[in-house]
Order: sequence, then C-alpha cells, then structure tokens
Amino acid sequence: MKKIILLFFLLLLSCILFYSYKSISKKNDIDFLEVATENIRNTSLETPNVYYFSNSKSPALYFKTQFVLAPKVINQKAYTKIPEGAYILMVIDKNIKNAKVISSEKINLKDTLVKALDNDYYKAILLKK
Amino acid sequence: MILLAILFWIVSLYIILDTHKLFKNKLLKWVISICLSASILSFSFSIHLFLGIDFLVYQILITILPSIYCIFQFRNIKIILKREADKKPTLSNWELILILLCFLIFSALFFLKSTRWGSWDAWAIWSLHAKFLVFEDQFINLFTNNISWTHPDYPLMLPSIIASIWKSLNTTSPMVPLFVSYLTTAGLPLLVLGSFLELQLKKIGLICYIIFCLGIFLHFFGSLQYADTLLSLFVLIPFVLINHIDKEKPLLLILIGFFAATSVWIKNEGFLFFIVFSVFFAFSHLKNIKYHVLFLMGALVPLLITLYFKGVYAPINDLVNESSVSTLNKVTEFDRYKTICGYFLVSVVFKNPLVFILLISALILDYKYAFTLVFKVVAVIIVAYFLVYIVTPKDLDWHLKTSIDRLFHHISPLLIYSVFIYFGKKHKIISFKKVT
Repeated sequence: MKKIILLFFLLLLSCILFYSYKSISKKNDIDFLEVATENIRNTSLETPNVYYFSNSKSPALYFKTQFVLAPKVINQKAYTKIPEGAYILMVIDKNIKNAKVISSEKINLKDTLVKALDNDYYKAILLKK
Repeated sequence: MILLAILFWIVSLYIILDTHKLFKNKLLKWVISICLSASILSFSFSIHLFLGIDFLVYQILITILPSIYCIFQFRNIKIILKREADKKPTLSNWELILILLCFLIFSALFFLKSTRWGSWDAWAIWSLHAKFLVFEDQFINLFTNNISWTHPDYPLMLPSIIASIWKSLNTTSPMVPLFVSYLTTAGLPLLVLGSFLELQLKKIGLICYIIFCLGIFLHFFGSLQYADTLLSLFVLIPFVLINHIDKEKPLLLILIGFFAATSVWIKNEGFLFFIVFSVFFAFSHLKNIKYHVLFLMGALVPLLITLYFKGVYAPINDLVNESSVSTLNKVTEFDRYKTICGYFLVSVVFKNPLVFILLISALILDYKYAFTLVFKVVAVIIVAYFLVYIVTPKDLDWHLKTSIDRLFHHISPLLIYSVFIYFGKKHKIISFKKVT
C-alpha cells in the first residue's frame, strides 16, 4: 500500500513540475538581452572592463546587461572620463522611442567591433573609443 | 558529472551517519546528508577556483572519492537496505498521505510564486556571482568595487553550488537556481519533521510540519531564490542537532560546529549568528572540554575557507566602507530608534503574525522558554541587528525596507521549531512521569 501511495505522490509531483516548467520556461527580458548580446559575449577582449551606455535610464537594464555579460565587468562613467582605447557597449532598448545613446558632439569612436544580433527588444553594439 | 558526485556524496554521508548511529530516522539522515553534500560541493568548488585546479580534474576527484567509499561499503548498503525494509513503519498510511499531500501543496505554491531567474537580488547578486564563478580564469573579475551594487564581498555558498552545476552541465539555465532554491526551501519542513519523528513526537511534529508546508513565510521567501532561505536552513540545523546529541557519544558536535560555521559562508549575517551561537554554546557547556574541541573541529574548515575568501578576494563590505566617525553620532539620534522600533513592530506583529502569536503564547504558557538557548541566541541577534540599523551609513528607511523582512526570515523557522519542540518535549516528560 505504501508503495502505491508513494508512486501516486511521485506522479502528482511530476505533474506539478511539468506545469511549472511550462510557465517558467517562458522567456523574459534577461533572455532577450542574452540573445542580443550573444556575439559580444563570445568576443574575447584584452580587458574585462566595458563601459556601458544606453538610451534607457532604468538601472535595471544596466544590471541585466552585467548579468548577461559576466565575467566582463560593465562600468558606468561619463564619456569624457573613459580612457582612449577602452571598450564601449551601447545597449538600445527598442521600446524607448529616444534612440540617442551618447550626445553626438562627444562621440569619437574608432570603429564598431561587434554588431550584436538584433531582436525585437534590444540592440547591442560594442565599440572602441 | 557533478550531479553524480552529489549523489555519491549523499549516499556516502548517509552510510556514515547510519554506521555511527547518530540518528535512527531515515528522513533526518537524508536531509542532513543532502545539506552536508551541498556544503562539501560548495567548499570544494571554491577551493578548486582558489587553487586554479582544472575543472575536469576537480570533477574526477570529487566523484571518485565518495564512489570508492560506496564500493567499499557495498555490503553495508545491502545491510542498511534490508534493515530498513524489515523495520516496522513509524507512520500509518493516513499519516503518510497527509505528509505527502502537504508536500505537494508546498511544491505547487512554491512553483506558482516562482519566476524565471527569480526576484531582483536572485539574478543581480546570487546568480550573477555564479556566472562569474563559471569562468575559472576570470572569476576574479567579480571582486571589484566597480560593481559594488552586486555586493562582491558576499560569501559564495549559493553561487558556488549553482556555478558548479551550471559548469558541469555546460549551461547557464535558470532552472538550476530555481531547483537549488526549491530543495533548500523543502529542506526546512522535512528537517523539522525528521527531527520530531526521531524524538518520537509524531503528533506535534505533524502540526509543525503542516505549518512549515502551508505557511506563507516559507513559500514567499523560498520562491525569491535568495540565499536567505539557505541561511534559515543552516541556522536551524545546529539547533535541531542539539536535540539529538547522545551524551555518551557526542560526535554530533562536529556536525553542529560545521553547520553553524557554514552559515558564515552563506551570508555576512551568518557571522553574527555563528559568534552569538558559539558564545552561548560554549557557556552552556563550560566544564566539558571535549564538547569545545569537537565543536571547533567541525567549525575549523568552513571558517578557514571563509576567512581566506574574505582576506584574499572579497572587497571591503559597503557598510564598513561607508562608515565614518560621524556614523557614531547617530547613536544619540532618538528619531532613528523610533523608526527602527516601528519597522521591527510591523515586521514581527503584522508580517510574521504566526511567529509572534507562537512566541507570546509560549512565554505565557511557560516563561522558562525565555531561558532556552534558541531564545537567548535570537534575542541577542535581534539586538545586534537593531544596533547595526542605528549606525548604518545607508539611508535608514531604505536599509530597513530592503532588509528587515529577510532578517526575520533567517530566524522565523527556528523560532517556530523551538516553540513546538520545547512544548513537545515538556509534554513527553509529563506523560512519562504520569506513566511511571
């Protein structure tokens, strides 16, 4: 009898796990950001420090960018204070109409290193100052 | 491979607990073996990172060690299995159904409240640290104040468990932190039930277990995927083990020392718990040198690893870093005391009504409950938290809002367990006296 009870319990527990898996496996913005930065994640840089700019003022996007790009260290600094040759990451949140990431008069970027995979939510570009 | 290693460790530790006759109850043996295995995995993974050992070599070592032990103990395993099969069951079918039903409700509630990647601190602190630890040549990047918002000084127990599984499975799936969190949260009601069954306090144990399974205090925090529930579990374990010490063979003291010291490796708050617990424990067994030696033996390894981490890798804690002489002036600001008291009151009375009612009832029914080790340790911890809030360099309202509920979550399961066990034991003694 005890074995039947245990088997029935395991069956019900599996059902709970199955339905939970279905709901939890729905992707969220961390996953979309992960897809958008895939090329950048796979690019090896000589320094772990990358300087972050975005059209979004939300600190959440900055934290999430750090989360998806670890072990790279995502720093925030005024553009003028960033040393020459440093890597700059631009993350564009497509839900925000304002696409300006850095004021144009300040920009002095040598070249685009990696263009990230574009998706409906985010666009990420890695540049060198 | 890591999952296989965990399985071997659990079985090996179960055999060790069984052969030393530390507990009779199977459930208690399993829960303690799993917690021990998780701790060993965390410490060994961190040591492999600190020493720069290749991950493949580490995996082979961590798997081979317990598997060799299991092979040598094969005869013993067969004997244990036969003995367990012959044993008269302690639970009736209805009791078993009740236990499993509560566990199912607990699981359903847990997963219903869970979200992908967990709440803010889960991904911004714990899983983020785990992501750094996956990269053995770059994990050191974490320990910089450039990203001080992620608290890089926090200990590595939860991140190292997640990272070791991620790395072994070659993925960074959000399901791993979710299941680690589920097992941690589930460990609390199972540990409590195992402890009561071991002490033959079945009825009161079942009531306590149902409260743990259905009480909102556990699902809510467990499903956030923070390290706070893991700390709750490791704060509870030493007190559970104290109830099962055999005075003739106090080997459990090694485990008590180990688990109490491992709380230091989970969160910085664990330091406070370990110090307070050790002091009270030492004073309650002043004359017994053997007790102190065994306790220290268990505590030594977790303490050394944590101190090494804090000394070599971790940047200075933000509270310490931002403190100055002016911080001490806050001691004289009366308004701060008022604000903190207000938050404490709301947290205890309105957010943890069950714990509040249980504590008040316990003290009314028997004031001697206030002299128990648990009550004394918790009281000192609360006073210490109060003092930290008074001198905090952070904005007081923000600091209280973001941390006070978690601090009470660390001690809530312990307080509930302690009330039930205190009155359960008392009732048993009275019943025993009546019979004799």
